Amino acid sequence: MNPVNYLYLSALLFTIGAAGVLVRRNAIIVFMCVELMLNACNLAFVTFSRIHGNLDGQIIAFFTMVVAAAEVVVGLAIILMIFRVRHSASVDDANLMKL
Amino acid sequence: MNGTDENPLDLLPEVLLAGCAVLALLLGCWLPRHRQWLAGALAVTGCAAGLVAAAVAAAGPTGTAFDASYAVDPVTSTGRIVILGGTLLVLLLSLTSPWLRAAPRETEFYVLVLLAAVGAVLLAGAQDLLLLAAGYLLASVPAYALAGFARDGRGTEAALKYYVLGALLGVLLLTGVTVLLAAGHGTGYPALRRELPDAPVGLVITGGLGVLAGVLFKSGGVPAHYWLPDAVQGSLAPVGAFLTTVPKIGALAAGYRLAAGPLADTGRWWPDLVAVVAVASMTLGNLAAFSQRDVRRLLAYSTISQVGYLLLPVAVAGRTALDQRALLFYLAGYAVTNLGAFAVVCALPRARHLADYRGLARERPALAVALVVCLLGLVGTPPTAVFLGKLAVFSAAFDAGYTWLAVVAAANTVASLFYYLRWIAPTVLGTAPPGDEDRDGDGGRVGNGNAGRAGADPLAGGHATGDATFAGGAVLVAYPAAAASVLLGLLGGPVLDLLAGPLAG
Repeated sequence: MNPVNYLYLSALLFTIGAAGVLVRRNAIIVFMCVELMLNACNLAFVTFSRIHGNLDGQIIAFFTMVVAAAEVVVGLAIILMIFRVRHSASVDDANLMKL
Repeated sequence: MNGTDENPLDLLPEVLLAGCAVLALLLGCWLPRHRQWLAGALAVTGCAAGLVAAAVAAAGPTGTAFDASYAVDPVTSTGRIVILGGTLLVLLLSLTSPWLRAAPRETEFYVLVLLAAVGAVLLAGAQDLLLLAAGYLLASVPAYALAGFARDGRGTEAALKYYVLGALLGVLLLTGVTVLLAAGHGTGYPALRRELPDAPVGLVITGGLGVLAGVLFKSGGVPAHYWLPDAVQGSLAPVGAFLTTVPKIGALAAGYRLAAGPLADTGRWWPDLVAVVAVASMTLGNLAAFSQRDVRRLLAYSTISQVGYLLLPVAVAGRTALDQRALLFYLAGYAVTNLGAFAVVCALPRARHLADYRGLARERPALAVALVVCLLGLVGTPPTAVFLGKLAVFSAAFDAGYTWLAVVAAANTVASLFYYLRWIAPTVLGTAPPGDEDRDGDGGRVGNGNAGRAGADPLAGGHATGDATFAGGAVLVAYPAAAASVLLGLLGGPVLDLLAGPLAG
């Protein structure tokens, strides 16, 4: 199969994720959309690795997965904490501090 | 690209920091709560040992480590020394603050600070896009937790904003890395520098934009600055000092390395783009700072405008011989001056607004002198370090043919005097009855004498008994930092010469 098709899929995933981040209000959904973008990047990394015939992209994809897992842990903890404090997971409700 | 540079000792400062972080975490598991400060002492020791190792490495030869993925050159060495020095000052600020003493998660605080510092150092030395991405995440993830460390309403909100923006821009950074990998057939900077000039311009610009987004987020430049004022205002004061100083150093060094390396021969889009970002950063930071009344928020906007000046040498990187020295000297001067100002804020935990500083010069003259020195330093008044740094930065921009950039930056410097004077004037001229600094009721998140509840709620904290208006330990950082700011300015010539030298790789 032509590897370029994977790049199209990656671009599609990235766009869906970016649209979700910009449009949705719920922090968990925003967060999942960011993960979708991250995995679009991973798919592109692996595809470029295949196209170039070296392992650089694959190594980055592994790194990204591991570190993203750590980021997810901290992120979920923060969302949980703000839900406890504010009883809402909407990013629009976080407005204690403004100009 | 050979296997001869695989010497772990090249990374000794980083290894010391990471090792101390792990050790401190283990130590914290076994120590009783009232002896958790030992973990902080271990962290300080690790930083000091790392500083010595970095100084030794700085005197040694320039080179690369681990298949040319990590550079050991003047930029890395200066980055290490400034980051480790800054982390040391932040750790001292935290250790001497009453709010952290015997708090339930005291050890975790030191560990998170150390890990974020390791990430910042990695950013400064990375010569490979993979390492750049890893350093970004290592510097970011502990910082999110630090921002929400107090677990109150504001801290949590700050952490959420910081996290959402950081995760999004982290993905943009990774996208940039993907595109540069596609364009340059590799991730190492030396290989990219060979390949990128022949790659399609659209790909290179897209990739460069993505990476720039990540760098701007870590350095707090416009348009990725939205997290900064909230994170500094909402989190604890030492955390604010850390967030506005340490990651910036790593990010700006990383931006400089990118500009002088892989993106150097790809056309004029990079200097023009970064110049626009720099102007936006210094101007918007200044404009927003004019109307601030909360001192931490004012300092946060002041750091955004400082990043604007610091981006000048990143914009003109490789186009003049003065860029590297200017960036490194300004970074060192900025770090010490900014930490000095934050140390004064830490020393007066309940003075949150500009008006609360009225009459400080009468009550605590030495502290007021330190504050005035640091604030005038941030403006760029001779003979402080930032003055020399600004001079070097402006001459670098001028030398590279960006005269308009130097003129805009100079105009912004003059404009910035206004909001620093809004703080200095009540401090020096105002009079206030004794103990009036703390009349602002919502200020006391810290030091309420009840260690178990320290930092539990900013609104409830201020009503307990005890000397909550003055955290004396912070002056141990404020005075040396103010003195260092002046000293670095007086010794500018020899120091500037030390910072020259070719990049590795």
